[in-house]
Amino acid sequence: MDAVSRQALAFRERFRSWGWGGRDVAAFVDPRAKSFDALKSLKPAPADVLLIHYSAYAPRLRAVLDLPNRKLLLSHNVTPARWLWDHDPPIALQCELGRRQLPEFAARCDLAAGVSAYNAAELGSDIVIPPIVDLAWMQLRGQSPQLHPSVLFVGRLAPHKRQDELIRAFAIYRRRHAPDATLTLVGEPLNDGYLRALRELGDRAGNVRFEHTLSERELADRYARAWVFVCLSEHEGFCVPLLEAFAAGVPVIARPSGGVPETAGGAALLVDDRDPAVIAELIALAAGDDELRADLARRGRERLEFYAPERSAVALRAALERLS
Amino acid sequence: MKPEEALDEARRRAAAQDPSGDELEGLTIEPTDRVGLEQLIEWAVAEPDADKVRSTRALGAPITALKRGMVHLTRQQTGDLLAQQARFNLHLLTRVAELEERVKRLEDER
Repeated sequence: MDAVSRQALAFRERFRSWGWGGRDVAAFVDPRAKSFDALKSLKPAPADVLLIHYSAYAPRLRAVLDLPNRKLLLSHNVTPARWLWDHDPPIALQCELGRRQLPEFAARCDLAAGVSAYNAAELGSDIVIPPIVDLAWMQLRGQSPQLHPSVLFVGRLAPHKRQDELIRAFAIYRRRHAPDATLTLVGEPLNDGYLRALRELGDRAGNVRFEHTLSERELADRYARAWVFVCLSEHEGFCVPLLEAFAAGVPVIARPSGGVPETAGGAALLVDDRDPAVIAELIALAAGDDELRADLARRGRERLEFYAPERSAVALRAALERLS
Repeated sequence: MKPEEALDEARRRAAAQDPSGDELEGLTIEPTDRVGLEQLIEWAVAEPDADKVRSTRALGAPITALKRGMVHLTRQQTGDLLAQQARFNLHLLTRVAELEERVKRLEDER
């Protein structure tokens, strides 16, 4: 299930706990998602408030905007098409249209918000509703220790996430510091062709593993075994995996793009350098310097408190109550 | 080491290393900011990848086979559709190219 659907379900859980009714509908419903109804079945009562999660082009949303109900649009951000035209034109087209229609759609809602201040600012708003991230599943991890250095990335395998740069940096790290190190890339690939190209690059670097559709237990295990988490993504609206890495106590190295600096606070090593050798040295430091690791782990725990589910739920409720 | 010191230290260490052997051939990603006419002409003729016709469901192999069979059975119509779309795309691009050239000529004359 994608991150936005997970958020919709987390919100629904909160609504139930507050004694609120309602249901979730989606323009495109994956047959595996049992909790969502088709958008065409939406027939709200006049007093109902509509909360619109926006993360991609949605032509059928126009009919929703025409409804007289009060509306809150929550932007999860849309990936800029410039990263996708060469690799998946239909997805690129959806992103291009999605980014174009977002300001218009936001203007037609009574309230616009973002999951980060970065997202909100794109819409000229200062209303932030951070994701409700329940990390209880992180406790499911196994206890098997990782004896060799292990670098982890979690997120979609897509061009703007720059796994190509991470693989190159990892190859240098391996050659100079840790020949037995492994890099694990966990995420659904954009398409088969892109995955094939990444695999070829990974084979040249050596010790690169690709995984997706992991269970929560398996994913918790990958975090538990990781020595360093690295995200060189060029575009992020929020980046939930940073919080997951913080929860696992794993040092984080990230590119300060989009909402990443805001999410990371001072708890990650932010690096904008394009030289993979610099990233490689940063991985070596984060994997080997105990004082640095302990400091980052402590800051990560503080960051998790800032993004505690209860705090996000308060922001969500406050925004919705402005419309009631 | 403090987190605030780590990046400078990494840069110092990287600069001290011999970069030979750092290159890794293969996939390189460049964002597409301004699409040139040549690229547009390349894209004008759609060539859908048959491998992308598949089912995402668990145990979806029979559905994938069925979908691919349907693509094969309807290839005359889809082929005609693609040809008509390509004809339109290429004629439109030719017009755009002519207009670009005309604008450039007029600007040069001014």
